Amino acid sequence: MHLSVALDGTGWHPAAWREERARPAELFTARYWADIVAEAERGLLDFVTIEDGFTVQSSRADQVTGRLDAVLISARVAPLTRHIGLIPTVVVTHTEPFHISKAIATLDYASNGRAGVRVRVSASTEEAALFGRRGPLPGSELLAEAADYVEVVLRLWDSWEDDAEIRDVATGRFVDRDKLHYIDFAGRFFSVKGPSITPRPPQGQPVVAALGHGPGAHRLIGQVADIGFVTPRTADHARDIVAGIQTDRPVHVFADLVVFLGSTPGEAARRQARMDERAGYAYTGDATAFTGTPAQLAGLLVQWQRAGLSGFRLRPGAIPDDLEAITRGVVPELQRRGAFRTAYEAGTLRERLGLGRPASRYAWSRS
Amino acid sequence: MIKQIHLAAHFPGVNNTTVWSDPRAGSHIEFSSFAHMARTAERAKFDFLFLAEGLRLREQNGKIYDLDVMGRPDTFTVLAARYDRARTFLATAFELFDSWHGDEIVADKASGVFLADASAGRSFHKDLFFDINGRFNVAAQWRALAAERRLSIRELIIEVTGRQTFVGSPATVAAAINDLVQADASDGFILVPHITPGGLDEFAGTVVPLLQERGVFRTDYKGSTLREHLGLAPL
Repeated sequence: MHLSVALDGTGWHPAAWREERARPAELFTARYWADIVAEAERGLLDFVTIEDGFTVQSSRADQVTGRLDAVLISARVAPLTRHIGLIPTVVVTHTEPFHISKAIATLDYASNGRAGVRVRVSASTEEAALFGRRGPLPGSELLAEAADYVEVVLRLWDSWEDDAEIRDVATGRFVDRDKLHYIDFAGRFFSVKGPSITPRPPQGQPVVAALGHGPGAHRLIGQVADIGFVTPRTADHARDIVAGIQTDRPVHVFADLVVFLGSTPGEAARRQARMDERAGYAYTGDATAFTGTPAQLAGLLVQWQRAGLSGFRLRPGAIPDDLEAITRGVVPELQRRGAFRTAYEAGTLRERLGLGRPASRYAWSRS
Repeated sequence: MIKQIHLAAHFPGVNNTTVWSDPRAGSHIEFSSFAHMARTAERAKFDFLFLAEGLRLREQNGKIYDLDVMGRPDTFTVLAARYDRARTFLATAFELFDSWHGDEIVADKASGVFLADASAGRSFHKDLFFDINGRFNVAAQWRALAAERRLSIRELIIEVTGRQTFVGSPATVAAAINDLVQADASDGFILVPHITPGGLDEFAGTVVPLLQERGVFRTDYKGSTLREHLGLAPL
């Protein structure tokens, strides 16, 4: 089983920052992020994702507002970790694929092959207004643009063949220009000539992930993603979603679950109720919430995985409590059942996911 | 109090002063190269590390230029103002180049007419960064210099376009840097080593201690922010 956590502020519950062990005053420090990613790595997790967006999360003064840039957090923690994959969120609706391709390629260098990117579209009018270039696009257009965006990013990653830097002292050539390629992408949303300014990253193509709740987004996952995050309500629902993702490529489907954990079912419920009370409402999100013990969650994960899921992306209700319950409670339970690794093996994030290292499409076309 | 020098390190990369063919030359892409140079600069108590930014591979005659270091990782710390000035600088330079159209010089000995237009090179330019009013005469100055010092075109370009270069023993270099700063030629220098990533090591190990002995460079950081290193008032 593949297991990851989605990191967002002090956790996914809007009142998580008021929990006793929460560190809300440190949210804008590098140390906070280094500490929680290190905890995820102690739990041998496949990767972490880091949420991002351009608008503030809440208009309420009693909720966490503001965030650091997810790609830069990832770059900061990359040299402090050795194994865990780092998948920051980028909003593709308002950024340029050229910039993001080189940023993620650079993260792949800084992490020695542990980088990915989770692409997110934005239908928000407020977010569009921050850029002022255009109004919000309809949903189908957002997804079509995202597909083209990923295609441009992949081509830019491929635009330097792996051995383009030759440093041939005899002829004075630093690069073999025959191994650098114009990508000449021209589509409805982008027109990008290339090549990239950054050499091909260690993984060739860092991992591409996307979250999807409906058929349109599931189609995007089938088209361009290595990992799709989905939000089933039950194991049967998960089976339907997996069956509905049409693709001719290897695509991992991970189910998202918000988790509230405790040493007893009662304690877990009390924690969740305490946070709901502080928030003033019962928190529900786009993903199913699980409330219970680590052993109960491990059992559910094993059962749901049989629906054809590759793994799970757990969203800790509160950090560090639920994060540590995952790394120190759920993981040992899964290990005891023989369902999860007991040590990291050397290798890149792609290798951990069994995805192999793609050759540059331009190397293929030349030979 | 004697004026304090500010020092910064420019990570060498995509430019013709970076020597990639030296056996000691390492990667311009791997993170370890950046870490090495940043640690050297921090050990020597430098003010900051400067990473240049560029998005396009250089081309020559429609082909990708393959003789210099190519490619760079993303550098998030782009100083917008610096590039506004750079863009304006280039646009202004092109205006000046264009102030001569190419057909002004007649040099007709018989009629005694040298210039077809007596105001050739007349330029007016005013913006946030530059205020220029006069005649552009760089070509004439350069020609005069070349003639006087018998320089080849190559030597002339090196002479007129090169950056400040410090060559010599550690004591010579330390004295030269200090003299320039004390004379208010600048508040400090951004050093561009020729070799990645170890090109700064010798400077850090030999010149910096001499500057510290003279009392013109910090022996330890006093603040923690970049503004504090630069002695800028808090906002």
